[in-house]
Amino acid sequence: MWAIAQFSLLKMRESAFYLLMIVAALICLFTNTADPVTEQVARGSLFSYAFSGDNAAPSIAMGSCVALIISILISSFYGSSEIPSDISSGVILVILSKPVGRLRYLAGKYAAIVIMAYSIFIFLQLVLFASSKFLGFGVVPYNSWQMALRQLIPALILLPLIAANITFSIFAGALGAMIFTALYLLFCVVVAFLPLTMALFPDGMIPMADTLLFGIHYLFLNPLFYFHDMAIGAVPLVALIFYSFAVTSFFLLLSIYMLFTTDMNANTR
Amino acid sequence: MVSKKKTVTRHKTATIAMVAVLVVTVFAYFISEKVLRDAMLRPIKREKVDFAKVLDWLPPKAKAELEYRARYLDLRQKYDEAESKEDKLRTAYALAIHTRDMDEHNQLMLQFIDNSAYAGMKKLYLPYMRMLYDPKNPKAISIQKYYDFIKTITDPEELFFAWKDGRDRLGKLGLRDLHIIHTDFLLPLLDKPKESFIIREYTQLFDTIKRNASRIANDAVKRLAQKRERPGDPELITRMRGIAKKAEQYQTFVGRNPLNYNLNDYRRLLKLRADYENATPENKLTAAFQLVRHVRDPKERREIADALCKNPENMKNPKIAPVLAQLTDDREFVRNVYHPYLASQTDPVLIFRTWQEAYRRMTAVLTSAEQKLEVFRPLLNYPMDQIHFREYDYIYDIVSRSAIFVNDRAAAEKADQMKEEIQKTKLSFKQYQEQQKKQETR
Repeated sequence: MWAIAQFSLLKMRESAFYLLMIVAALICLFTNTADPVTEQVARGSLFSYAFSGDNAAPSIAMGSCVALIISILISSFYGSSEIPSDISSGVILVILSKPVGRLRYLAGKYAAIVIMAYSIFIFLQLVLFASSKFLGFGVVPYNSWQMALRQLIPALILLPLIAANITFSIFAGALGAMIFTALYLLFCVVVAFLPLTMALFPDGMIPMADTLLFGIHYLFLNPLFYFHDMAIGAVPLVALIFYSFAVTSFFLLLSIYMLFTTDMNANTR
Repeated sequence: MVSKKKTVTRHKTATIAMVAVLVVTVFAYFISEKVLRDAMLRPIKREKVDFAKVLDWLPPKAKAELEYRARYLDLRQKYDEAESKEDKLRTAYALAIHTRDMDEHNQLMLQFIDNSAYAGMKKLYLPYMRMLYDPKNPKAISIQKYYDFIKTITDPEELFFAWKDGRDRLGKLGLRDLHIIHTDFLLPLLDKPKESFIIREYTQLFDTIKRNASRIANDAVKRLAQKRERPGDPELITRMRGIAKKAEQYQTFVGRNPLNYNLNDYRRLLKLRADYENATPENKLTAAFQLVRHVRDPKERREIADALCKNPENMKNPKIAPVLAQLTDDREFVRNVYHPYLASQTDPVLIFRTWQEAYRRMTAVLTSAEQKLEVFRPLLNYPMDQIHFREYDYIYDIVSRSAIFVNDRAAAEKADQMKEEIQKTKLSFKQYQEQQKKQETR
C-alpha cells in the first residue's frame, strides 16, 4: 500500500509543485489580511447562524479558509486523475498482477492524496503561523492552542471529499470526477442549510421540508459542521471525527465495489 | 494455485466484512450527524430570530414574501399555543394585524367583540379598534358601538388608548374628509368634565379636535366667500368655532393641571401603588414615601399619611419623617400632624432631615409664600443651641424671602439674623457627623 502511495506522491517532488506552493502561500498571506469569516457576516443573518453559535470561540482566519480551498482544489485535481490514468494506461493491470489487492491499491491511492492534501494545508498553516508570530501579518493572531486547533478542524472535511473525488473518478473519469466533485460540494453547501433553516423558521415554512427535504439532507455531507463554532467542544469534535470517517467509509466502500466490478481490460478511457 | 473453493470463501469473507463495515458506518454516520446537528442548532432561540435579517440575502420581493410567511406562521403558532385569555387576545391581535386575509382578520377579532368571557379585560379595546368603521370591511363595527364599548372601560390608561388608537385607526383607513370624521369621532370627549382627564396626553386629542374643527369652519367660510355655500354653513361655522374654542380650553386645562400625569408617570404611579399595597411591614414606610412623593391627588396623599399615623409603631419609626414632610403643602396636616411630630423629636439629624425634606417639597410644588412661612415658622423659635448644622441657612433663607413677600418684617429680620449666625458659628453637616464619630470612638 505504501509503495503505491509513495509512487503517487512522487508528483510532490516536481518543481511545478513547489512553485504552486509558493503562489498558494502568497495568496494565503494576502487574504489573511481580511477579517475572519465569522466577522464578515452580519450578526443575526442566516450565515451568522451557520458559522457562529458562541461568540467567545476563536475565529477561523481568512487565510486558513483560502488554504483549505487550495488544498481541496489541488487534491481534487490530483485525486481525479490518479486511478483513471492508471486504468487508461493499463498501469493498474501491472500493479494488480503483483501481490497487491484492489483494496490495498485503493487504500494506497487514497492515502497518497490525503497526505498530499494535508501536507499542503499544514504547510500553508505554518506559513500563516510564522507570518503572524514573527512578522505580525494577518488580522487574527495565532496565539493559542485553541486558535491553532480551530484552524485545523475545518481541514477534516478533506477526508470525505477526497474519498468522494476518488469514487467519482472511478466511474466518471478524470474530468467527470472534477465536475462531479464540484457539483457534489455545491449541493452539500446548499442542503447543509436545510436543518438550519428549519430550526430558524416556524414549522411549515418550507413545504414538505419535514419529510422529503430533511431526508435528502442525509445524502449530502454537511460542510457547516466543520466551520461552526460548536466544533471546538470535546463531544462535537469527537462526533465530527466519526462523521468524517463515516462519510469517508461510504465513499471508499463504493469505490471498492466499483473497483471489484470494473473490467480493467477494457481500456476505454 | 488458489482453489475455487478457497476463492469463494475469500469472496464471502470480503463481502461479510464490507457489509459489517457498512453497518457500523451507517450507525456512526447517523449518530454523529445527530450529535453535530443538535450541537449546531442548540444555541438558536427561535423567539429571538429576526426573520428580516435572516432573509436579508434574498432579493427584496422574495425576502418580503418569505418574511411575511415566516412571521405569519410564527404568530399563528403562538396564537394556537396561547392558553390564557390574555395571551389569546395578545396573540390574536398580533396575528390579525399581520395577516393579509380579511376573513381571518375578522374571525380573529370578532371572537372578542361582545364576548362576555373577555369583558373588562385589559387591552380589550384592541379588537374593537381593529374592527372600527372600515367601509371596505363588511363586518366592521359602527362608531356608536365603539362608543358603547368605551363606556365600559374603567382604567384611565386603557380609556386614553381606546380614544387615541381609535383616532389613529380611522386615519389609516384612507377615508375621505378624514378631518371631519376625526372631529365627529372625538367630539364626545368634550362632553366630559375637564377634571376627568388625568392623563396629560389627552392634549393631543384635543389638539386634533381644535385643528380639525377650525379647518371645517374655515372651509365653510371660504365657501361662503366664494358664494358656493351649502345649506347650514353659517350654523356650521358657529358650531365648529365653538368646538375649537372648547377643545382649546380643554387642551390648556389638561396640559396645565398639576394633578395630571403623563403616561410614564401614570404607569409609575400604578407600580408604586402596587408596591405600597404589597410591601412588608418593614418596607411599608419606604414604599409609602415613594408613593406619597409621586401621588398628585391631595386626597389620596392624605389618606395614605393618615393610615400610617394611626399605627403608633409607625410614629416611632424615623422613616415616617420624610413621609410627613411630603405632606407639608397640606395646611391642616402641617398644623395637626407635622409640627407636633417635629416638636416631639429630639434627634438633631432626624429633625434636620425632616426640615430638609419639607424644604424640597415646598420648593417643588406651587405654594404661596404665606404657606411656606406657615410651614417653616417654628424654625424662628428654635434656640441657637438646637440648630447644629450650617445647612439650615438655606431653609432660613426661604423663610426670610417668604416673610418679605408677605410683609412680615419681624419674621424676615429674625430669619436673616439667625441665618447669619448659623453661617458664622455652625459646623457643616459633614463636619458635625465626623465630630460625632470622633466622640463615639473616644
